[in-house]
Amino acid sequence: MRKTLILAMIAAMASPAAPAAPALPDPQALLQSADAVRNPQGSFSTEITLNEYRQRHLIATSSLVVYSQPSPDSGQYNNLIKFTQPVDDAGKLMLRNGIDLWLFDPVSSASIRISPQARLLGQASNGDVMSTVWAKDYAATLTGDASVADGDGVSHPCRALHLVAQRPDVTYQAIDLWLDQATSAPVRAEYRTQEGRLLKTAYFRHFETVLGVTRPTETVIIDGLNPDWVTVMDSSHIVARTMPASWFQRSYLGRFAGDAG
Amino acid sequence: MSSSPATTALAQTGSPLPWLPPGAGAPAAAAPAAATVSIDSVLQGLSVQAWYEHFDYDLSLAGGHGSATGDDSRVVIDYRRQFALTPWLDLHLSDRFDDTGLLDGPSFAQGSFTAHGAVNSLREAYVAVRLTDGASPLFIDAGRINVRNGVGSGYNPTDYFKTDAVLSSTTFDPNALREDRLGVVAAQAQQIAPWGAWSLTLAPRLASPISADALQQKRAPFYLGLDRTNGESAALLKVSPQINQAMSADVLVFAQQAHAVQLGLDLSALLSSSVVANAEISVGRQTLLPGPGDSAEKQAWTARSAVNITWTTPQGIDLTVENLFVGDGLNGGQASAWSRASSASAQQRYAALVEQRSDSQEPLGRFGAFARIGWRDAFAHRGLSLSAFVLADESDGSLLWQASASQSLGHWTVGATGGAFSGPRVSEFGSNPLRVYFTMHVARTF
Repeated sequence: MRKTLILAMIAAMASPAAPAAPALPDPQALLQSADAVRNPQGSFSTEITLNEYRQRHLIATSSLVVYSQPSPDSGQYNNLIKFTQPVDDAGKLMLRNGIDLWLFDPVSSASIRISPQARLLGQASNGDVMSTVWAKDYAATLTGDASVADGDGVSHPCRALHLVAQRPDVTYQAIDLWLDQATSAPVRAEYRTQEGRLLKTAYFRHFETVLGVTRPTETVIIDGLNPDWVTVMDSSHIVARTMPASWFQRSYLGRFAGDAG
Repeated sequence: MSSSPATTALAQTGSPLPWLPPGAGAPAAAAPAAATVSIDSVLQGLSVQAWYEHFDYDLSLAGGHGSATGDDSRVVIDYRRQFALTPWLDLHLSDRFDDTGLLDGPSFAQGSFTAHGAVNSLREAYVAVRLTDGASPLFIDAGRINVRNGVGSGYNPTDYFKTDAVLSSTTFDPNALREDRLGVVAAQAQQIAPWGAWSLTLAPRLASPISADALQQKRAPFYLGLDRTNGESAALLKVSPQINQAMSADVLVFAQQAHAVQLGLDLSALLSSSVVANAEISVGRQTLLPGPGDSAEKQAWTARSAVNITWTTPQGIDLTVENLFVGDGLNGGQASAWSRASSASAQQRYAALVEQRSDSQEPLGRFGAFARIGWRDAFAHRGLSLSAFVLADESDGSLLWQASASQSLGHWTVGATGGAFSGPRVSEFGSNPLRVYFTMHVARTF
């Protein structure tokens, strides 16, 4: 018995190691890679145009300038949004620092606290236009690989992730996300409620090299209940820049004058 | 993880995003905006409005007999603009010009929005200088400035410069009255620092305080209203520390010539992803409103407050309910005593009280309530805004309500508003001879 055991041990030591299964990618690291594609490093500003369609007809256009600065405390972005179109909203400002959300109206010169559920952008949510670090807000799990069509109808081999919000105040409580296997660029996302009800489907497209990285510059957002309600969100003039921390304080909103101020 | 209808449809059609017209995206939409840039740059901030107004009056509430109706028209030219003169110097202008009476309106205009004729409201005209940059920029403003404070929705006890400041308006909405009023001529310093911000406003006395009678008198069209805004010297210190992300606070100290110092506190908190709560309180010595049997003025430490909650529904409807308390206002017993006082002099004194509180934008009754509903892009119809509010004086059982609808069509807006005053004949809102009003307007904004 003892001899058999020794022979077995020698055989085990002499035999080549069994081939290891290919290591699965870390889903949180994948999410961080996707964030690096979605957002330039550091502070930046971008101009966003939202075109809203119903039954393939353009019904409204909004334009914004978004100033984004990583918070030194949380690593999440602080966002200051200046409305430039339509004329009724021109000059309004929205400030988000974490869960702190303020709306400044130049007509009343007043800053009022609003809730994340407040709607100012038609079918688009406030969170759709703000820069966010998904890896800070969501816990990701890998759900498999799939071939997924992008917004231009081109199929991509993708990693599929399921994201669950880690805070109640984020715009979407759950996201199903498909990332291009080669680049980690987002191809498609389905935004869901906590219970799994589909709110919106987003297609990322019009990839361009911006600040040294190939990034999507257009997101097509399709309503979950009414697929004929579509918002096309275009980003342009994405510029890396330094901004004073005071821009992201509510007391500064009445002083803000865009690039001049 | 399930596949959405959108995904399925995409796979079925095999074409890119069949819900979009060919070429949909930013460039096509940006073209018309570029075409209007030149006219916008010249006329930006200008709004030209044409109004039709209808009023129903109960003349018996003004010492007359019977009822009267009247139709009136109004043209409003509204202008707000900020000019960056240099990187450190801005000029702010805000003006409103009303001209009424183009139709044959009623000669009796008590309780309506304004008297007949032309009225100009120079709301703001000031320069703002950035003295220092860096992490704690310091600013100095000088001129006529609309200094607004408060987080209340229907009532703002810490909005100390509101008294007698409304010359002309086309609504009784408390929010709009804040926008339409005259600013105070003042010098203001503000510093914004990493810990928060502070500001100090100093307003000199530039005219004799306006009398109650003079408030009702018609003035020259370009009357500046300095006796309304700068009849007494005043100083306001405001400190706004950064507490945390879910709560903010403003602490105020207001001193005014011939009045006791008032201490104010504005609090705002996020309770959930759809609920915001606000509380606003001002404490200080005030002259208590008298009952019909009170001859001597009484002063006492008292508080004024507004506490509200706003809930945004998943459809985007904002619902606000607010509780009002005005410690120097009439309590239920006093309101009841005034309703029983039948002498002509008592009625005149009561009417004067109502007028004085209305002009100073302070509630007459000690207890009140306010509720507002607002729906932007109502029924998922872009540009359609619906809103309504009700303001109730719980001390005397009277109320004011107003409902509005407007449709924005690019640079054009059309809208309609209706409202009514109701309650016992001797009450804050029931005593107003104006019973029902209705307006329609069309506006072109540049």
